[in-house]
Amino acid sequence: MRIRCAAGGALLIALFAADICLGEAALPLGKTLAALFGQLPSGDVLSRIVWDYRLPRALTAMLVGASLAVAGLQMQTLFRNPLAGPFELGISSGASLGVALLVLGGAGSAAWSSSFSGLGYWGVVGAAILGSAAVMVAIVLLAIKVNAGVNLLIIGLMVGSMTGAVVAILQYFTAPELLQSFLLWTFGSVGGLGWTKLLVMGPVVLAGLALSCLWTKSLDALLMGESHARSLGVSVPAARLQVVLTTSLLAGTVTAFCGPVAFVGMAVPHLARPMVGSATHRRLLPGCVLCGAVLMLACDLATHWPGSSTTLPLNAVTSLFGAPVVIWVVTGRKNLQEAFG
Amino acid sequence: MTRHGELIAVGQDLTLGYRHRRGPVEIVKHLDIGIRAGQMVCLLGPNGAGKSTLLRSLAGIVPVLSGRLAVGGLDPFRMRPGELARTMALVFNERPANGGIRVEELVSLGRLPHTGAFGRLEAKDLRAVDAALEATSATGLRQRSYSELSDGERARVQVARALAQDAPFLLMDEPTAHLDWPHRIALMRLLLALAREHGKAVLLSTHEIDLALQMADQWILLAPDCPPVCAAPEEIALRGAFDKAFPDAGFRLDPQHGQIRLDRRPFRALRLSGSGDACAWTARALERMGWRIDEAEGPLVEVLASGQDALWRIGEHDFDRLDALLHALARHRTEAAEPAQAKA
Repeated sequence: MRIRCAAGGALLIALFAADICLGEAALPLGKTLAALFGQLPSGDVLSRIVWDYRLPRALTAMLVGASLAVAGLQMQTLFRNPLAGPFELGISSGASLGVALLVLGGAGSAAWSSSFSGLGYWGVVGAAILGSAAVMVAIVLLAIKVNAGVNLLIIGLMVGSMTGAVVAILQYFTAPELLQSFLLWTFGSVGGLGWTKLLVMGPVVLAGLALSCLWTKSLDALLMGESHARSLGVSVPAARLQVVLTTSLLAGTVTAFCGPVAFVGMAVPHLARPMVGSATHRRLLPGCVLCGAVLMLACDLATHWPGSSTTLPLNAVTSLFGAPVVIWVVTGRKNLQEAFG
Repeated sequence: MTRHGELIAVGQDLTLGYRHRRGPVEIVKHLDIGIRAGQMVCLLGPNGAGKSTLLRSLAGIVPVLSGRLAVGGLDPFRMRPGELARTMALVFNERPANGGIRVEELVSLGRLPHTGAFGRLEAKDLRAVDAALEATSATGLRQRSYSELSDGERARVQVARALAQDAPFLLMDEPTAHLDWPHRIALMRLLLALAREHGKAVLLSTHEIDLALQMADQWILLAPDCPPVCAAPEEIALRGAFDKAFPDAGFRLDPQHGQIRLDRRPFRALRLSGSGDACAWTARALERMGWRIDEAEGPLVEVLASGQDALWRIGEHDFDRLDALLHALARHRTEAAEPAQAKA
């Protein structure tokens, strides 16, 4: 396990460096490092590319991957469903709805445009977190009634459709230029954040990750189901509330800034489990942070492949890798059938 | 550790069920129970009689509708999770989520109530896990993945998890349900040993009437339209409560053999002579075929030798296999029956 984690760490560093060096203009590694460590003159073009564009982009990718993976892991445990994830159960849609209500609904239309102030970001983040939390609470309440399984996925799909419909109605009444930026946002992107936005997203997301790490014990107890969890000394309502809070913080904030990113949250825990070789969250959660960061860097690299001047939509890339993971999970594992039995 | 004989769970005049919009639905009425440390108690009854409801009430998942229920002196429904964890360990039919959990980790979950805020296992916890694996003969499984275990191994590992929790009361919902016959016996033996050697109070719901009759210290027998009882199995049989709980089910408790016997309407009589195992098995086979063993009436079946060289004789015909004997008797029976039918 140590060796695999070390390999994962090395891969993270390599991909981080690659994500900074490679892009529309490929930068030599030596010069990039020099720029990173402030050894180039301050006005240097290369230094500005690295510091103002590539570095925040790589950091954002890592935060997005880690956050979505941790949110997905928590949801899979809480709902006892290996196909649960922030995108799959409509949490990202909830965030979209929150953002859409704020941005397209009028009050925030000024905030969305490129000139929006620091306060505007916080408004968007707040709206996304509230939207995620609303959907998450709805799904938790429904999950108590329907007893997990396939039904939960269907409910998630329906909630996603409903929020999608509301967003579509809002779009219908929206000015075209605003609509375009909103549509671009739904493609998902970790670029274009810049330091101002990253400094809003980073602390919120890190707080969410820290809280998740604090609450791994109740997640472990939930592995055996809710009646066992209670007899293992864990308050189930409190555990539900913890998961609602952290997943909304993580998935909501990420969605606010980078759009609804598909599949990452659901897929990464399945990659992390064999790597960590453990099902306890104390070990699995850091594993998901690492795997999520590595994977998101790789996906981001794929969106801006060197030499091409265009950037692919992030969601297209994550779906290309994520959908096969779902198929692998569904076909390859006996216990999945048991989980749905 | 609790002392043998100490009362762990007490229920007086319990009414169990659930609250529905149109009022409470009572499934079990007037139930008195007393479960002591060192006892294995089997919860029996047909499906829908309230076995799970009683288990869920004892586990504090649902409240009792009326009556007084106390586990370790406290009402389980009002216990805080921490108190619950110190009082009882559950083995209910919930699978671990997401798969990929190793046996060692699953058993360690039982230690969660004893760990600090982050669930880190200390030396005493690791010792408890080792001991629980040892007591359930599951030490060899510790590195295996739970999802690839057989049903019998899973049952043992779940018991190990409950044992690692170190609570005086073990509550199990049909732990033998998916096991094959040898594993059922092995698991019941294990549970009995936990009661006797570790002083646990073990309550399990089961459909294994035969095993429960041979091993349980007490039965809690629930059945619809029948007052619930909690007593020694022999007491229950003696009072006829068992036959009342399963009326017209086509079987009854046979007091002579102390086992479940199917009701039979013997077709006609024959005489049996001989001794030893061969004679006993022959009698069983004949009864199964609808013959009544009589002192004076009917043809004579002689068992001439027992064991490997068993030999039977009817009149001047010898049979070296029981099958052949039964076949001959069956033919004899139909031949005897035909004239009677012709007459009718």
